Amino acid sequence: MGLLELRGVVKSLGNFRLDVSGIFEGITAILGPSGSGKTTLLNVIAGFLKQDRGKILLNGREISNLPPEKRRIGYVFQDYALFPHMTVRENLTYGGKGNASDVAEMLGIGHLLDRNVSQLSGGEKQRVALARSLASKPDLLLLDEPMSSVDELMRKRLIIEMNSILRELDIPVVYVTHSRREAFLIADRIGVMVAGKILQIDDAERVFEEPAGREVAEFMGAENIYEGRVVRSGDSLEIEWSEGVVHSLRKGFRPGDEVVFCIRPEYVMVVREGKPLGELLHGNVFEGRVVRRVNVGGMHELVIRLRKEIVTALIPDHAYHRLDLGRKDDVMVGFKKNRVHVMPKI
Amino acid sequence: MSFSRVVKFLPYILAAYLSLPVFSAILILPSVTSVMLPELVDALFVSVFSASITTLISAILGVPLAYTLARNRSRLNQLIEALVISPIILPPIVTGLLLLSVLSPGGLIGKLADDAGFRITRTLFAIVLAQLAVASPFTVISAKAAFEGVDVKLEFASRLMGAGRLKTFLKISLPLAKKGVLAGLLMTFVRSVGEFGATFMLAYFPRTLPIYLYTSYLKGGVEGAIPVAIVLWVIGVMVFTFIRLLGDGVAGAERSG
Repeated sequence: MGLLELRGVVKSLGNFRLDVSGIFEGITAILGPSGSGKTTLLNVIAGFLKQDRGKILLNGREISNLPPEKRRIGYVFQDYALFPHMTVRENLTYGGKGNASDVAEMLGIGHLLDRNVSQLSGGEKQRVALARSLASKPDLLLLDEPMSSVDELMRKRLIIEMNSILRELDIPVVYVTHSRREAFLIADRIGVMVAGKILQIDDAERVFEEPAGREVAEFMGAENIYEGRVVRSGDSLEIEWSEGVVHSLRKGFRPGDEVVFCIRPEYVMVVREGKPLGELLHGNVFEGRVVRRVNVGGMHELVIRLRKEIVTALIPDHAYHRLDLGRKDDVMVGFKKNRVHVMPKI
Repeated sequence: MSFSRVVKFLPYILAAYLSLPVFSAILILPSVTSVMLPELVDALFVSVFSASITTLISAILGVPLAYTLARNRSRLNQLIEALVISPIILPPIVTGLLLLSVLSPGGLIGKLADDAGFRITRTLFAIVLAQLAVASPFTVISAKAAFEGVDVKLEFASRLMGAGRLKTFLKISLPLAKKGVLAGLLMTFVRSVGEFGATFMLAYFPRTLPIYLYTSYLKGGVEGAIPVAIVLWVIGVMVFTFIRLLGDGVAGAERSG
């Protein structure tokens, strides 16, 4: 299993500044909004852009100063960049290394070898682009939004296929995307990139459940993000915020710490009146009023106004009807203590 | 004629005028009485031979320049591009005069050549220099536009597959830009064959077709010059047809599929 390492790699382009360090192994998705520098990062790794500072190491070999043709990197471009004046076979054998029919076999495109590139469908082009990037037996594979030019209906199937192909490889893979869902379906690890920096790189689950800071939480869709101050620590953390005190089971903070905490909309509960509260909800229930209801397909998004803050809750259809939330405006919202995630305020 | 009629015909007035030479060439053909064939053939040879050399030099030197200007948009390169294009907007006779000022035996470079026992003006070499100055920018402009139409990601892909800069240029960039490059070279060729102003200043002799046309006119009026004009016209039409056959390649390259 190979390893890509970036050591303080900096690249300035006008007002934009890329600044990345980190170790990449297995399949890593780089997730970030457009303009966050994801493609720039890939272009620096591939050698199309020269870094201003820092080092890039691939399996311990420094590649930062090598021309692209010496780096042993495969690259799947956003629009695939297949050579339009060549057949599929010519595209695959262009590098002159490896065996075109091996990769073609592996990716199930043997029947396409003698076609012209212009005769391929979107999904086929993607396959060929992937096969071509692997034909030269690279030590690292980079993919730049490879799903952006296939249509919505095919996308999910192609993502799942892509995932099973990438898992077969024993080289590190860096997969750039702006889609959260795609990142989760493809990768083991996710790096969240905002404004040229990777703010957090972790196991996919962890980035989702335990974002490292406000920006990551926002990008991961935590939505309910508030500020507060720790007033007590112990078995549970007590945080003072504009609605009173909220409890969390997170560790590592001390009284007096200024913090940001968040709870994902799907974890916000609407409490049934008269029913005894479980231990996890005790002390974490707040009065509010529903100000907006949107049916988002099997789930109901409720915007609830507390005394000062706004909470968004995503309620499954059955619960929505059982609690009569279509008509009832005054509700009690509960945050389970193990779902309240706390981050340092920077 | 009503105003609306005028508006209706307005688009075609210039077109009608521009096609006038074509018809006059056909109409005037029967009135040709005598042709100085040996002189005409000599001039034809000088023109086609010099224009071919000019086109060859444009290919060898102009295409790499076009590629560099397309891929590297530095300040310096933008300045160079402006200088390269300037002969197109300068009257050729001005270009010729400025060249003469340095290449004539009294000029900066001409004097050096003269000291070495070598004369530049009034040679085939001078004709090529005059044509190169006026006509090679067409190659640079057309080829540059064609190279800009080649997705730079295709070149990146080539590099990552192990090809160096030269192989990438020869296997990817040039084949994909070939229509525009070829169109530019044809423009350079046809412009060289018809070059008069700069050649008139720099190399009145050996006579090219346009110079021969001019001297024929001085001697025998319009009728004396018509055969030469017809030959030039035919060469022009042939090259023009060829460029049109290349299709829309003039403006850019094949797009990636």
